[in-house]
Amino acid sequence: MLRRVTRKDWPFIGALTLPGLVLLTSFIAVPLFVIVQYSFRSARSFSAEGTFVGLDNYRYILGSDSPFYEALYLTLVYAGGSVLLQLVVGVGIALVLNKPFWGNGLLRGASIVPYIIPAIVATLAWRWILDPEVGILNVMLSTLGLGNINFFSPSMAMVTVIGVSVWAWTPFVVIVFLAGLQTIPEELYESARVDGAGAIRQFVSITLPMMKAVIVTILVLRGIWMFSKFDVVHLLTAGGPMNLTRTLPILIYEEAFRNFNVGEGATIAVLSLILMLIAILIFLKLTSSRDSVR
Amino acid sequence: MQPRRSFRVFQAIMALLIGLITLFPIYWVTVSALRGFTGLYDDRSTLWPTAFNLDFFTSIWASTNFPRNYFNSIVLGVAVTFITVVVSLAMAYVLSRFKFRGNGVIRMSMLIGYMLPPLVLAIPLFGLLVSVGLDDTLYGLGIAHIAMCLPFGVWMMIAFYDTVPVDLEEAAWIDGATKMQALVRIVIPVAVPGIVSVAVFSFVLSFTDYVFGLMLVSSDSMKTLPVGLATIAESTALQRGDLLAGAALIGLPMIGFMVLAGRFFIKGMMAGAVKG
Repeated sequence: MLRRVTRKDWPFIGALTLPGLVLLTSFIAVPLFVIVQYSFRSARSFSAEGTFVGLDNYRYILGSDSPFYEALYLTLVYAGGSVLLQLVVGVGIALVLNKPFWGNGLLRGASIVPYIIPAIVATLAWRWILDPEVGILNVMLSTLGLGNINFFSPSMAMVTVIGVSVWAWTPFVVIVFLAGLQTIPEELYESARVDGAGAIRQFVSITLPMMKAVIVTILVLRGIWMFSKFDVVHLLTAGGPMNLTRTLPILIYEEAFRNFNVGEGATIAVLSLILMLIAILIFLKLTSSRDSVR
Repeated sequence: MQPRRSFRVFQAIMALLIGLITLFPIYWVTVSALRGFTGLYDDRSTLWPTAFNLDFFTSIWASTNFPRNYFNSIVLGVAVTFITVVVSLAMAYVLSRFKFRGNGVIRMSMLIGYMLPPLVLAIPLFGLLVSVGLDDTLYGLGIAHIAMCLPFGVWMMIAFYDTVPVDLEEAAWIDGATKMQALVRIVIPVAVPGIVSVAVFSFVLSFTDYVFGLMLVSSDSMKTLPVGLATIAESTALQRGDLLAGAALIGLPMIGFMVLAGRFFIKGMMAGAVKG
């Protein structure tokens, strides 16, 4: 498919790639460089140049009285919990949708609604449904004699945030997993059935191994995105109560845009970026080395 | 092969459940908002619609920046979509068809750009926009949205171009067409489904963005819809029902949009995500 280029192709190639390259360099590459620069400075606003402080920001953020570690722990709980639930629920839904039935197309269309709806709509809706006093869910629970649950109490807030996040982003897993399922040749299942394998056996010994690459893709992408997810958490709880849902993105926002500690906010952002990159590299390394054996 | 009967029953129940959990929040918001001032709390435990009262809808539309925010979001979404489509159309074609030094590097950085969290980019982008005087403008926000949409747009278009056979263009080249003519007359018409996918995706991404909208824009009249509604929610002057009406006014059109364009969105997601 790819062709070698001759000298006279270069003007064409240049004209077509230059706009994109300029945009990406100035608005992705340069910002990445700038944020690292910010993390070595102490600035009280975005317009001020600030003073160079070397590694002071890093020393403070990684020091003992910094909010970083608690936020990191909460981020891992949030990202880990919501990604695993998204994967399990999403794979389940994909398996149901993979078999033909009346209304399948409609349901597939409907199932992406939570994914494309703006976070503000999702959070307003869920706050109304989960309201401790007047929410429909609590009305139903107390009719059933199960009493009221305060979904935004200190012990429940993280569970609620994870739950709403699973509702919102499971469709991604469904769509990607469905796409992957279509690449598995039907003959594999047929011969398995001839050998007397049941549905669960087929899933474990055909679907899962064939879908390994897809599952890894889902875990990596969703993992990164949930690790840095800001909107739903900010709109549901704003990090509260008592900072019990203050994940790293919320902390970054508070430092940089609320407390105007631009340098510290940037430092946390850089640290979380580094953590994400390390996680991706380890993950890809582990999976690709196993793939090459196969 | 026909699935077994017990499976079909299970499947029907699961399908109903999925549909219910997926759509209930939007349904509930709409039905609640339609109950008006008297019914919002009184009828809160009735699952079906009990009234058709547009008071909350008119109140959020008339007394807040909501219409203005709506307008901003649509204009911004259309502009971002147009630029993203044109730029990724061009760039992806070259990356899909020509072998040259740097092709792999550009593809790789595209993938990294796609994975980068908006929050990490928002801080330095805000600083950069301040220094060129574009902070708190829709231009600055548009630039950020394009930077967010472009990597995935290019990635998606490469996947689509890769499925278009080269023979057609080669025939055109032999007939004396320039590379540009072949692209515009032969390749682009075949790639229309891919283009629509990129367009739908970019529009949704721009229209629903909260992170950049919150951080790069501060005056109320410049805010986009998600941030605007969040701002309205923070102010205490409004009732709960107004906010639900606002949510319904965003949610319902988006469901309509997905009924029309959903399959392009799904196709784009499949092409982009499974490839990577």
